[in-house]
Amino acid sequence: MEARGLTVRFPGSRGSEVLALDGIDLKVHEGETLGVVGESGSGKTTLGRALLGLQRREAGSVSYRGEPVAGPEVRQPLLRQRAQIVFQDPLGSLNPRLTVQSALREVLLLRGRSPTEASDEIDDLLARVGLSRDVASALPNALSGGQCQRVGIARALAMEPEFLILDEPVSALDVSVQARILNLLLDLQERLGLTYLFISHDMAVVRRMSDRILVLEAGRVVEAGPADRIVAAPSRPYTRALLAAARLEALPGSGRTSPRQEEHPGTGA
Amino acid sequence: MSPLLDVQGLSVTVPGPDGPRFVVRDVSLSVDRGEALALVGESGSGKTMTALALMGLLPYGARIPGGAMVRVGDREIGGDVSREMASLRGGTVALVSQNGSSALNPVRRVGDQIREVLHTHGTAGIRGERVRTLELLDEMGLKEPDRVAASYAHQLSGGMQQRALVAVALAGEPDLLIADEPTSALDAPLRVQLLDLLARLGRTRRIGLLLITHDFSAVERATSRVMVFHAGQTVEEGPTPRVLTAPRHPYTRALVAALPFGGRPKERFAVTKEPHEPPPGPGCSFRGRCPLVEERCGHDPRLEKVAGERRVRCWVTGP
Repeated sequence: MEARGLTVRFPGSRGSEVLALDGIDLKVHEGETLGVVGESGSGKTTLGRALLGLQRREAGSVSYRGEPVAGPEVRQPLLRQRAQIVFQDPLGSLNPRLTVQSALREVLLLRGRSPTEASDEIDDLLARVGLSRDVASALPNALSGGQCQRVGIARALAMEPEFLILDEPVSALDVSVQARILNLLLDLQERLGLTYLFISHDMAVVRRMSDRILVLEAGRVVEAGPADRIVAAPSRPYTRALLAAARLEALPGSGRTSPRQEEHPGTGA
Repeated sequence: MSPLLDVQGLSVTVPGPDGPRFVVRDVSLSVDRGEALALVGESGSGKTMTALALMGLLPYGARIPGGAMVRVGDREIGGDVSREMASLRGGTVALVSQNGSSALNPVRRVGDQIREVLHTHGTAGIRGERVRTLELLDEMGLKEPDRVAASYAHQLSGGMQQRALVAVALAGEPDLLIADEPTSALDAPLRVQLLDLLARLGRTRRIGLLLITHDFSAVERATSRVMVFHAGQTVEEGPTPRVLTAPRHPYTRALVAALPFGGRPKERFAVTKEPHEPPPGPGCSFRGRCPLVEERCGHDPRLEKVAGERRVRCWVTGP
């Protein structure tokens, strides 16, 4: 996927306008993960939506495998199938009145599967995202946050996409659940050769998940490069602030947390 | 001197199909003036129920069985713990909840909400309620306190809402602040600011802080001691830096190992088995998920002192 000069403007209060994206250039290569980090209001969610044509852009172009994919000149369905979004709020993104299997069946029938084919595929999809078949008949509000997010991922996979936009997919989850969902995403990428755009405000998570990172500030790309380089040698104060917030700057890459405070003296054994 | 908050043997039950079910079991904790204690654990671990009990905000049907001893400063809380704690709320004990946009009154200006607390508790002092309101907002690091005071919640950003909420909490001159996931609606840079603000209150005003969170970077940033909950019980407690760098209980180890800090790009995270209801009968509540499980784990482990001002509830990694 490639974007050039992508610009989005929102109407603000009292007739003013907000430049949400200001001339974004980016490329996502097949099979890689491009991490997008920035604080709230930096434009990361708008970027994900604009890439899929879910958000009207004012200027710039987006292409997928060399073909224009978003804009008035293009019909949507092509990209809708190949690219999917997984949202931050796992419960809110599911229809509260549809059981897990109905939500998945809906997508599969839309894709032209027969009811029997759909039932088989639902079992496959649940297994693929690590859900037991017991949850198939459950409504979303009976599921945990982690289970809901797995359903959201299964629903995206039902379209057999090549490209997933993951918009803060684990921000709402406990640390141990978060780790399991991130592992699932890494496994799926490896197994299915998926390409990810991974959006988050958490530099620690982005760095662990991404090949390359793009740092957004107020709608502009202020820094971009290989994940390790951005973390090891951030060139912008803004990136350093994000790193500090994720508490990565003090870590020698040991995989251990490092204490901020001094150890209390005289309390040893 | 006695600690600011001292809790001994607190349990909480909720109604279940087979009678009352324990969601908090025999928890003891204390917070000194100026000290910050974190309660951590996954959803359902009992950390939030513990906090709700201490705020007198337990959901309908939840009970505190007898035998709990709670002391706030010199005041002994006897009888109905939940009701008595509720009477302290807003004054001696104040809370900061998760979501400023819903915790603030949407149809009243922020300044009026602060003034109301100042008025109720008579805490404005000689400078008057208006001046004190602006001082509080200013102290929270809010620029243009005049404008913020005149704003409604929806006119403020998420970070400003949380700070306004802290200002409302502080208006009653509390000794103890209970903060339940105060940063979960904020993103990284704003989290840091709010946590630093909370930590500063301990230093400058000697306020005790009880921070309920599942965010370990928040624990590290803002607290000096941490208590880890699993299945309604304390499984480990100690000085924050020690517990995070050298966790002892297998559950704490699993939580720390699952943190995204460090590691190589695309390296898989260390995970334990999915959380589920602890196995029935006696024994360690973590034994169904524990990689170190042994035969003796079928008996109840006790929370025992280990070196370095720590306590741990584990047969294998305990003393």
